[in-house]
Amino acid sequence: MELHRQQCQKCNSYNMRNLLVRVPSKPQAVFVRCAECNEFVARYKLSDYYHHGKGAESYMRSHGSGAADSGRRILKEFSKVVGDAEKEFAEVMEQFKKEGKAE
Amino acid sequence: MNGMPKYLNRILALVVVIVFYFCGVFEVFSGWGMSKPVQVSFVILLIGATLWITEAIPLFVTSLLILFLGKTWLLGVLREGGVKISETVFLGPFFSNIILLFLGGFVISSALHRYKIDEDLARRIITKTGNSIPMMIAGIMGITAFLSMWLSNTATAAMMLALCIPIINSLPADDRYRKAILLSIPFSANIGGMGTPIGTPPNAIAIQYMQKAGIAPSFLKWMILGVPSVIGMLVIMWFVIMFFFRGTSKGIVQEFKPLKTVYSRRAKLVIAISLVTVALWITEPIHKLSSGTVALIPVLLFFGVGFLKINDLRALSWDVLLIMGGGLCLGEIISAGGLSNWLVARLPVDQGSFFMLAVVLGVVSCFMSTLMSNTATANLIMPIVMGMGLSQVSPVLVGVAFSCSLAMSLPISTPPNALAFSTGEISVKDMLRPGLIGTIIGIVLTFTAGWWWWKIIGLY
Ligand SMILES: [Zn+2]
Repeated sequence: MELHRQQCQKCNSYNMRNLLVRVPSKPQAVFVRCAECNEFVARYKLSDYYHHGKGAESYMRSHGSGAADSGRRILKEFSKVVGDAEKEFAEVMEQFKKEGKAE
Repeated sequence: MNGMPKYLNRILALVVVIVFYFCGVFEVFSGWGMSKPVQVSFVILLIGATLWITEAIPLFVTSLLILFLGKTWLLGVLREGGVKISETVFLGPFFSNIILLFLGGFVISSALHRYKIDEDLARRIITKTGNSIPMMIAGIMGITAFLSMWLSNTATAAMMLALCIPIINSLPADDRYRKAILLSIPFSANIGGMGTPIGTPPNAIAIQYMQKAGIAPSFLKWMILGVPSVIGMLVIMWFVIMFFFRGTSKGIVQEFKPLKTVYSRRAKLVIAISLVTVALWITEPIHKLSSGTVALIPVLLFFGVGFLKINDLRALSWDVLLIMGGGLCLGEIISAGGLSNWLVARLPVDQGSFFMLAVVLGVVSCFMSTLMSNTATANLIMPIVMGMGLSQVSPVLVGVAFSCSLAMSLPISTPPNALAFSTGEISVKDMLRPGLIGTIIGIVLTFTAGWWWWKIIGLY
C-alpha cells in the first residue's frame, strides 16, 4: 500500500477542502482546493463513493438504476460496504501513523 | 456475527442438492409412478428450489445451473428414450419476448436515471406537497408507485430514499413522521410493481405462462387489472402508516427545489422516447407489435444515438434477466420431462374449485416471497400451477404474481424493504406491523374485489 498526503503545490500546506460535485448524467467528481491559499490542487472522479456519516444515503445514491432481486443480498451488501470502508480506513490510519505522516 | 452459521448453511444446501441429484440418478422415485425423465425434471425442480430458497449460491447462478442440468441431463435422458427435442427449448427462455421487454425497461430506467428525470419528477411532487407532512407522504407514495410501475422497484426505492433521507434528517429526532416517510417508500415501490407487465418480474413470468396457455393479456389489459389494485393498496397503506406513525411536525423546514426548470434537449428526447415506447406498449392491439419488439426501440435509440454508452449497457441488471430466464427454463424442463403431466394425473383437482386453489397458492406464494426473492417464488410456483391442468389458469397466475408483490413485512422480503431498513432508522417491528397488516388486507382484497374485477374485465 502506498500512501500519499495531498499537499498544495504552491504553499506546501496540507490543509485541503474537498468539493463534491454532482452533475446529472456525469460521474461524481471531487475538486480539491488548498484551504490556505485557495490554489486548485487536484480533481478526481468517483466510482464507489461512500460517506460514512451519511451511510445509507450515499450507498443508495451510488446504487444507480439497477434492479435487484434479493432483500437478503442487499442487506449483506450494505453491511459489507460499511464494514469494508471502516476496515480500510483503520488500515490507512495505521499506515499513516507508521510512516510518520500524522500531524 | 461470525461467518460460521452462513458457511454451515451453504454446506447443508450443497449436501441436500447432491442427495437430490443421486435420487435422480438411482431413480428412487420410481415407486411414485415416475418415469426416468419425470424423475430428472422433478430432481431439477428440487435442486432449483433448494438453491433459490437458501440462496446458498447467487440466484442467477442457480438459473444457469438449471439450464446446465436441462441441457446435459434431461436432454440426454429424453434422447435416450427416443424423444426428439432441440436444446433451444431450454435456451429460448433466456432471450424471449419477456426478457426483451425487461431489457427495454432497464434501458429506459437507465436513461431516465442518467438524466435525473426520475429524481426531478419526485422533487417536483415533494415540493408541491411539502407544506403538510401527511400530504407529502401521500405525494411520495404516489410518485414512488408510479415510477416503480415502469422502473425497477429497487432503483425507484433507492432514488426516493436518497432523496428523502435529508428531509427525514431535518425532522426532530423523536418525530414519528421520520419512520412514516421512510416506510412509505418501500411499501409503495412494492405495490407499484403490480401495475404493469414490466413493474416486477413475477408479472412478466405470469404473462409468459399465460402466453403458453394461449391467453396472454395485452400490456393495457394488465394495467386495467393492476392499476386499481395499486391505487387501492396505496390508499390503504397511507392510512396504515398514518395510524402507526403519526408525528408532530407540520411541514418540512428546509427548502426543496426541482433540479432544474428547463430540460436540456437530450433530456427532452429521453422523455419523448420513453413516452413513445409506453404509448406503443399500451396500443399493442392496434399495431400488433409484441411488447418485446417494442422494447427494442428504446434500446436501439438510446445506444444508437449515444445517450447511453457501453458502460451503461454493462451496468444493466443482467442477473435479474438470468434469474427470470432460469425460472422459465425450469418451466420448460417440467413440461418437457413430463412432470406436469404426472402432476395432472395425480392431483385431485376439482375443476370447479380453482378459486380455493388460487387462494391457497396465493397464500403460499405470499409466505414464500416474504422470506425469499419474489422472482424465485414465481419461478417455483408458476410452473407447478401450469402442471395442475386447471380449466382457468390466468386468475391463478395473476393471484400468485400479486401475492408476491404484496409480501412486504420483513426487511428481507424485498430489496426496497432491505434498502429502507439499511438506513438504521427503523426496527424490524416498525416494518413488520404495518407491513403485515398491508399484506393481509392486500391478499384478502386480491381474492375478493380483485377476483371479481378480473372476471368483469374478462380475464377468465
Ligand atoms: Zn496552498
